[in-house]
Amino acid sequence: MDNEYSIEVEQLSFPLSSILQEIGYGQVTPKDEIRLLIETLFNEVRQVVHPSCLFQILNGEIEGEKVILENGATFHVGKILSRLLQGADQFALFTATVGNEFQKYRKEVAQENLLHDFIIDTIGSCLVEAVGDKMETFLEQETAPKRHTHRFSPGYCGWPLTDQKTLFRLLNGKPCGIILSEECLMLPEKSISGIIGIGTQVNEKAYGCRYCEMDTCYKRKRRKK
Amino acid sequence: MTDLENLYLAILNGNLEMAENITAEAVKEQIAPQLIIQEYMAKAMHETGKRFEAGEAFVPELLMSARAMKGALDILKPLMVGEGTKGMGKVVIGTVKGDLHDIGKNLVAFMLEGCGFDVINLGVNISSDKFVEAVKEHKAQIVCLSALLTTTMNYMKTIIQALEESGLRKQVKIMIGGAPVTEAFAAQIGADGYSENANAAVALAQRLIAG
Repeated sequence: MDNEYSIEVEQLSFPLSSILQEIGYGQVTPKDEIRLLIETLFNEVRQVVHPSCLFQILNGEIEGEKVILENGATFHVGKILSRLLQGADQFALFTATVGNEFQKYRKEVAQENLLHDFIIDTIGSCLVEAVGDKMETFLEQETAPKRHTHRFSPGYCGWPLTDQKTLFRLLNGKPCGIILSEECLMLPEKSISGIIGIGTQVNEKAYGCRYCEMDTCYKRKRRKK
Repeated sequence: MTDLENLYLAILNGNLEMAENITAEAVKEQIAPQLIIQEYMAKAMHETGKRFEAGEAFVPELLMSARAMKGALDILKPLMVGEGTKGMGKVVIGTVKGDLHDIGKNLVAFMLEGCGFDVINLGVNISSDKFVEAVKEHKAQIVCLSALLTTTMNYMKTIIQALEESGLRKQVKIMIGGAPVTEAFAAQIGADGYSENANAAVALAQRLIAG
């Protein structure tokens, strides 16, 4: 059974400081003109979006580098993620999105203005991660006292993007109104999907560069800076 | 008489209106476009780039400076026709097939334009055939390939092979960029260079054109 939630932006941990930080203004204060622009776009986005998330919990097991679910569906998660999911006997398949209104707003406001587009894109990226975090709190209410892993998505850590097709099929095709393109990318673009391992034995802290051998990971590149 | 130091400051501070006004005044005073570009505009962009690399400026500042530079350049361009001056070079840019991410690619395109390159932005989800056609049609000197996913970055190699098979590889330099891409990956697939951000992409393009 799918658990779907509509979310009010006020429910999210989504401060302006997270956007400034993401753009790079950790130690440096942006000049007034830029700060005002970021603040205006941030407030406008908050007013127009209707985020939502959904998850479905299924029993399953890890076999080699695959996750095999009770219904026979298989995810080819690969070496890295199968290790990080060790100990899970249930799996939450999830999606989370900022919603279609964000896409419309971006199209209207950012048209022909790359600075606006860049800022709105950053706001969307931070927002969808905040929606993902909220989804995890809903999941915890459902699965406590069991523990859960971080969320993992096709296309990362060696998990083929094509497994999105299986994921979306199991979530009834258009979860939270998200459409999967032929290339297995999601529309609205600011959406996330994937699985979370659940169990009494899972290591919820196990994530990060020391667990992963992927040289091409963008997170590893950022840490090297 | 126009104080071109203010043009330098206008571009450095990303003030489009001021940059356009001062440039228009300089044109009226018949100051040579090459002097305006080389001594003031390019130096301002260089300083913005330096601040970006030092973590003192970020993408918004880069974009605002590039926008001011582009506005000023647009005023000078008509005067440079027939002067024996050339643009920085022609660039074909696109996000590779299977990938719909465009913001990073657009940042690079905008910065290149701001720094005087002619940019043909093909968009996202671009096949090797389309890259080959565009290089032929526009006689590009540089091809920029962008990918955000580990699953789509390998298509960059397909594009390089297609350029080789069509006999165009020797006439273009190939630059790659995107979150999962590295210098080592660029070498592995036979690209001419990799850049980590839009500012570095401009510097790399300038180096590649200079040979």
